Amino acid sequence: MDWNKTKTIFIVVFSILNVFLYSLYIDRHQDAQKLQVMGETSIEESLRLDDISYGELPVFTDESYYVSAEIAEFPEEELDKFTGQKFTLVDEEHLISRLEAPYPLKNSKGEEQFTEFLATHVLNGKEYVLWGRDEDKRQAMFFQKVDDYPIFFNKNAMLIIHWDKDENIISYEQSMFGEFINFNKKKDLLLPIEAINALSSKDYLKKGSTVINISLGYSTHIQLTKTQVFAPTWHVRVKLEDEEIEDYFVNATDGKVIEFKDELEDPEIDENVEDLEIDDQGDF
Amino acid sequence: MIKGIFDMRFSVLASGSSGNAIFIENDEHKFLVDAGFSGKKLESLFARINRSMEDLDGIFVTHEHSDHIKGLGVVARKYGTPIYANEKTWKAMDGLVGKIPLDQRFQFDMETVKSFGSLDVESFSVSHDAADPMFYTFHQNGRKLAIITDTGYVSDRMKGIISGADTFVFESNHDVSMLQMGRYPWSVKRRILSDVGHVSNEDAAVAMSEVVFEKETKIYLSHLSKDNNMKDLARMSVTQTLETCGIIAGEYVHLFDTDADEPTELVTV
Repeated sequence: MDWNKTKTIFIVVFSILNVFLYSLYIDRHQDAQKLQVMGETSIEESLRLDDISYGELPVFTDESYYVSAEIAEFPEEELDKFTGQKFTLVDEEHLISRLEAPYPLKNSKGEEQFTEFLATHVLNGKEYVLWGRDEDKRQAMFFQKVDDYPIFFNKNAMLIIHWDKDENIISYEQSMFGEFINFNKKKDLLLPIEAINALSSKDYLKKGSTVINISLGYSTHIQLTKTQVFAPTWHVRVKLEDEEIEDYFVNATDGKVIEFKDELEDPEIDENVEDLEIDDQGDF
Repeated sequence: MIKGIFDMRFSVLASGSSGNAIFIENDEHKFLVDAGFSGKKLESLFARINRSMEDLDGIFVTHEHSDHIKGLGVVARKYGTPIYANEKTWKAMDGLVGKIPLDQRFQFDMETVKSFGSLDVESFSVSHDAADPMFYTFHQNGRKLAIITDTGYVSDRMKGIISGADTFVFESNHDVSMLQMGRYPWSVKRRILSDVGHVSNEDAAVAMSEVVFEKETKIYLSHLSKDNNMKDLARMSVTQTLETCGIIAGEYVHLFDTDADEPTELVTV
């Protein structure tokens, strides 16, 4: 046998085989890249086909974590600092305050002065952010914030301010969580467009809707005996064709749509607290 | 007790849905409970606690699920390590771990005790969907280490066997609401929640509250589900449930995390 010839044949055959395998590898690599590009466009395309439009979406770069906190009680000595209010506590965790002197809802320029009121009349008032107002009920709802992110519709992290027909603030109800603790594990968040797609693919968004705002907050994910664990949550605000506004919430880690029916239906704290007043005289 | 000379030490090399291995040693012997990682990964975990797999005197197998036997065959063949398992588990492992020489195959029957010098190893049955799953307690000089990382519930019999241990490596697999809300198919969720699945954070805490004695006790929360649990959540949940059962974590009961990739410190039981 001519070994030199055999060796040459082997080298040639394996060289051809290598070239063939390499070309297969390159093809697959290119296909995979094409597929990824198609995946990205398909979200935008499917939203376009569903007639869902949106403006510029926020670029979110912060690290995000699950956070946990326990419901806070209202310390008597802290409330003592706020004079001119009659405080009533329900289960130590929900505070009702009635102002002895009404506080004007608007300043002399006709602007609402919630910020000033919160800073001067509400314990940890700066930790709350306005969610919305209901002119018929003459009340405004605020959510407690974790850093700068609101906790959506959690009855233990709310502030509701009431005013009378003369637009004077007369009372408020408050609940709050104590110290927030970050879980160690950083979570990857859905992109805003993926949150919109999660809503659209589950038929939450009506045809012709326009996403007018998308922002990050938190919602209760797990409730333990004493502690609640909050998950990062996208809030998607949508304008319908008839100009009506709708709000949606999507868990920013797993894309699940969150509904807050109970809290939305009855955000008010039960005021049947006659027997639970901590001080018959009013102020602590 | 002869302190120092015959101390029993251990490290949870890694624990989770993707693999489990627990190292135990005294001054005479070195053992592993389960080898649920590749041989290479196990070697690196051993190196992290400054130990070598060559020195192993045996591996006790709990059951034949891959997260407990993945590296068993490789390690047995490479290092000639004796392997201990019960008869049904040996049968179930046929074809899963490759060929293990006969002289390395040892039968460790359910509910029996084997002695290795001053170290006694006791096997006990658990409720898990494997051929004949069992876990172990290790006894030496009045100290006791109890390992139980895969069981659907903790029966009174199991509680009786593990109670009063100085250290527990105890399953705290999932948070029930995370599991229920999660992406697993319903059949898998039902299996995990069943009596032959895994115990939740709360159930683990309730069981632990019934087996710890009023003495310094360490509890290592183990076999955490990657998808349905978090270390902080497990610790928080167990702490609060223990509290409702009248045990304040940090007083005499101390909770420790385990990790799916990192060994815990090698400590005395």
